[in-house]
This record gives sequence, C-alpha cells and structure tokens, in this order.
Amino acid sequence: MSVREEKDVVVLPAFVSLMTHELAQPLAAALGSTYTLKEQKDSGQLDEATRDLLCNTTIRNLEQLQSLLDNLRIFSEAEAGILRVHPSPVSIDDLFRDAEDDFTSLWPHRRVAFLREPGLQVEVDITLFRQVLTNLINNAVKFSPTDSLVRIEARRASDDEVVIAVADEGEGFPPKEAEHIFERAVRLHEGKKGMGVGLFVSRAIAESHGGRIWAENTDSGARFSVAVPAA
Amino acid sequence: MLPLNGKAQDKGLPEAYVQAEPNEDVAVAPAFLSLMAHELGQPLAAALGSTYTLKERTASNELDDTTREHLYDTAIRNLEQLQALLDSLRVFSEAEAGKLRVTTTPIGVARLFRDAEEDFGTPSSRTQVSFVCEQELLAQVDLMLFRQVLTNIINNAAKFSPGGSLISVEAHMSNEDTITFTVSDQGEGFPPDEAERIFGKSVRLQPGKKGLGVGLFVAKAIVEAHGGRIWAENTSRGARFSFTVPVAA
Repeated sequence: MSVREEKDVVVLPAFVSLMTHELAQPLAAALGSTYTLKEQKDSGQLDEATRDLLCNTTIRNLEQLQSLLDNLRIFSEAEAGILRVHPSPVSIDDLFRDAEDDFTSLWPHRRVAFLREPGLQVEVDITLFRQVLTNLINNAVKFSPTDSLVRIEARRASDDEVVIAVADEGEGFPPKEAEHIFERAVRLHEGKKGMGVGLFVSRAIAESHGGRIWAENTDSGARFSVAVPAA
Repeated sequence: MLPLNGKAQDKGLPEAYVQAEPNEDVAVAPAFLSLMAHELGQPLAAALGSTYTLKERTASNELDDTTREHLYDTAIRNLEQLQALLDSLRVFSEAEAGKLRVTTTPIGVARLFRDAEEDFGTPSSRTQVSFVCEQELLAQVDLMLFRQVLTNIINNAAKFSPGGSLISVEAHMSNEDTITFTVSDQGEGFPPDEAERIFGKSVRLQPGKKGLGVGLFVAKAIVEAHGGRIWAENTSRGARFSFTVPVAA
C-alpha cells in the first residue's frame, strides 16, 4: 500500500506541537547537565566520576534528540515520496551487537535479550534499518514495566526472508488497533512519550525494502515483527 | 480548526492526535518538516561534537581549562540555539491552532534590553547590536513571549546584515498608552512589495540564507496577541522593523 494514498493526514500545527514537546525533554536534560558541568567546573567541585556521569547524561540525551530528528527526516521523505534505500548485505550479529551497546548505555537498568540464529544476513540499507530497530526497541521500552524483559529475536522465516521480532511484557494493545498502530500520529497510550512517528517511519522503511511490518499481542505483552529480504 | 475525521474521533483519541482531512496546510508539511529537521540538526551536531570531545579528552587527560571552557560554551550556545528554535516552533503551532495565549505583567524595558544585550552583546558576534532606551519605560507584556519577539527580530536583522555593521534597537513612548520598539539594520533592505508578506509563513526572501522562516511570523503572532502592531520599512540605510506594545497601566 502506498503511503501517499492514505487519508490519515495529520494537522500540521498539532504535529509540530507534539514534536517540539518531544524534542524539548531531552534538550532540557542535556542543557541541565551541561550547565552543571560548566558551573561546577568553575567552583572546582567536580570529581572525575561525577563529571563522567554528567557527560554521559548529556550525550545520551543528545543522541536521543538525534534519533527523533532522524525519524522526522525519514518521515518527511516518506511523506514526500522521496525515501530512497541503498541495500547491502548486513550481518545480524553486527547489527545486534551495536543495538545491544546502545541499549545498555541508554537503559543500563533494563533487562534485554538479543537472540539470533547464527550467521544470518539481511539485504538492507544499514542506516535506515538501524532506525527501525531503534524505533521498535524504544517503543517496547516505553510501553512495558521497568523490571520487565525486552526480547529481540532474529530468525530465518523462509529461503528469502529474515524476521526480526521485538517482544515486550507490557499491556499489549487493543486488538482492533493492530492495523492502525503504524499510521501517523496514532498513540494508543495517552501520557506515554513518543512522537507517534516512530512506528510509521518503521513501516515506511520496511516497505521500501520490499518487506513487511506487523504487530501482535502475545501471552505476555506485545510483539512487533519486521520481515526483510535475506542476503 | 480543521474539520475532524469522524472515524478518528470514534477512537476516542485526544484532539491533538486526531487525524484530519487533507488540506492545503498539510501539503506543505513534508517540506516544512524536512527543513525543521535540518535546522535543528545543525546545532545538535555541534553540541554533540563538543560533548564527545569533552568526554574523550577528559578520559585521556588532554584538556586544559581554556579548551574545556570553550567546549562547554560551544555546547551550551548550540543547545540554547536549539531551544530558541523549539520555542519559536511551539509558538508557531499555537498561533496556527488559534491557541496562543498571553499572560502579561509590567516589565521594565531596561531589563529586557539588559537580557538581550547579554545574548547579543558578545564581542565575537558578526554584527554589533546597540540598545537605547532614553527613559525608564514599563511595558505590559508576557515576558517569555515578548523576549522571543526581540530575539527573532534581532536575529532576522543580523542574518541580513553585512559583517561588522550595526543593528540598533530602540524603545520610546509613541503615545500615552503605547511603547514602540524599532530594530534598524544596515543591510540591503527588502523589496518594497514584500513588506506585508515577510511576516507570512515560511517566506524567505533570500534563498540560501538559512532559517525556518517562522521567526517573523511568530513575532507578528505574539505582538498581535498583545494587542500591538508590527511592520517593516526600508530606510535610507537598511531595513527597520517596528512593533508596539501597551504601556503598563
């Protein structure tokens, strides 16, 4: 289904307002830690460990901002019908190793499991596909309790397809929303943060690879799966 | 407000998230959003760059105090620029949605100018900005919002001014209930028939000059929400932007 044919178009001011709100939070956090770094440095009160912690907080928040902006950029390209992919063979081992590093630095206290069949390779645009993984993982973390497990799993589904699934132990979603979740600016859980474009962007990326993306409720929470060509 | 799609309403979604029928505004959305991502991305990359350097060099003990100070300042300056952009975008979307509200209190113009001087008065700036207010004036304004007007108009002047030129900001009583602010630059001015249009959305007279093009639109929305007026003229030396706000009773 082409993105351009749908009628679920968002009101621009509401969208911009939602977005600025989202961006403002990590920005305020990054500014706060940088101000502290600067002021405490002047008064000589910072030990090495605290300084390192503040630096990491700043970086983590700025990287989150960057990821939000990446979504925004891909969103506008998908909307304008100019999203281009440059696929090449990518090893799931490499992809998961990076994702695991990111996860532990972003959420050091959350439990996560990365599982894969050995030697899997997919044919994807690495930059864009990383964004899909980031979005699905962000989504899972956001909508599940802090002490629960996030499971990311890759398996070969057929000769020419690899499926990557991100499963959480949250409340799941209302069954009739399974289709709408990937539409623009639909947010099922009021009060949870998220620009509402992450899943839309993920679908646009999956489809531009000739792949698919879908959501299901499981016994323990929600599972988002994306199928892309095997290399 | 745009008509809401009935189906979306049935889902019980909050109004802000509800989907609407396509309209003209939406057609410009991708271009606007892409520009927005680009504009926000630049200061972000700069801030990230200096923070990475701070972290790496701190770890390897390579940083002297001056360099560290410089890296902090670069990060902060860029993050504040990012914040100013977000503030403008927030007002932009509120004004577009007809939801811009002002909460006014009496504010001394001298204080406003002192704050602005701190932002614009750095010796390294490309242009010089002077602030003149001959008597103590009290304006009845929403402080947070009105600061944005000053910032946006001065930024706009700076963008279109040659390096080393002067931007002068003045305030005077234009009648017993009105204070008029003027911001004059020594740039090239603007095409006379554009005087109205430059306060519109995303009108950019000089392609290649960066900016989202919401600064003047936002300034106008804020001034008008205060019951004031804003206009632009060419002078013999450049452009002059003027805006009025009520005197505090």
